[in-house]
Amino acid sequence: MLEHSLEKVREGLLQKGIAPRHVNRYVAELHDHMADLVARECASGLDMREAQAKARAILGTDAQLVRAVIDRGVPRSLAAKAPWAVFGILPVTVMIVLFMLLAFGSMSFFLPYRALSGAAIPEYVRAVGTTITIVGSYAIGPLLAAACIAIALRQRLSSGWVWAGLAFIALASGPFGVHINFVQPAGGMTGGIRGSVIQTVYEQGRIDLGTTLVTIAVRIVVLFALSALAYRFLKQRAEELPHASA
Amino acid sequence: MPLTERYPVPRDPNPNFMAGVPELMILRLLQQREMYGYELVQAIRSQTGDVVSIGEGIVYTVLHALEREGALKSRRMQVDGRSRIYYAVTVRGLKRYQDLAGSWTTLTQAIQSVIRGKSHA
Repeated sequence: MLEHSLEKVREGLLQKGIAPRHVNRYVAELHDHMADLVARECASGLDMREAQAKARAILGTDAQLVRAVIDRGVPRSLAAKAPWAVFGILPVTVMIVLFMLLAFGSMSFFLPYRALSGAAIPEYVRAVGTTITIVGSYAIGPLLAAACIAIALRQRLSSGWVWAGLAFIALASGPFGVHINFVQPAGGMTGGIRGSVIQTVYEQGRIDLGTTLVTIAVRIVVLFALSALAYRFLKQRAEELPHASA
Repeated sequence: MPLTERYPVPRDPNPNFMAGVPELMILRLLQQREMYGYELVQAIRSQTGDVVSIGEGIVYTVLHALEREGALKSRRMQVDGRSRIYYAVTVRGLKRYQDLAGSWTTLTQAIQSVIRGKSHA
């Protein structure tokens, strides 16, 4: 009982947009206080069940404890105050910065090897290139979407900005990504290590525009659909928890 | 004569004269020694003979607000196998206490003079 008796207070505060760090500290101190009250009541002769009920009553009702925090003007979380910044601007900015870091990092790493091709490229250089391509093309978008979902669930936010954020991330990560290509010399073209930050599909050494656009569209739809499904499922699960109806 | 001298700015009204009392008592008690929330509530109760009691759960909102203002500082300590957050007064907290105590003394003297029927005239 002791562990769950303050969960409605936690839920109530999070739903009011109070920053989770303030909520966690408040609830932790209330929990400690309640443990002291229970110990006192037990020492005065009450059994554990009665002592817990009395301690909870002494502490104040859920509504009083939530109201006390709101009335004191405890800081609201940035996500509650400015969801447009947290779910709109921040993910896209972080994505651009990560792409730039990866792109510039790749340029400096591959510079000594850029003219090499085929078996002349050391194995570890190939491994680094493959890793950068996987991270730059397939990991950044989903990770940012997961971060948005985690923030929204942790802070019990149900703003339309969460959906907008997931859409922005999908739209931004669809056409972009860091690719490292190990090009074989063929048809008079020199081989070497090439990099790009836009999703492009090559057909016989030339950009295949149609396939490129289809690939970008598929990436956008797949990422948005997967993140939206994950968000909806996890949100529904969180709302079904017994303490979530504060 | 300038208007500001002819009509001095009135004191802040006290719509709820208990406002500021929890802060005042907390800042006074924490000057004696560091305490955690439960200890503070019991100390207030015992030192006021149960006349004043701060809501047991409400005390933390007061403590956190004072800490945000810089009037208190806190640290986590392990005592008897339990982790507790102890609060102590800062220099800013002492100044805040002096202000609050001064206001409260003035207010109570004014109320006392009304109760006893004294006149300033």
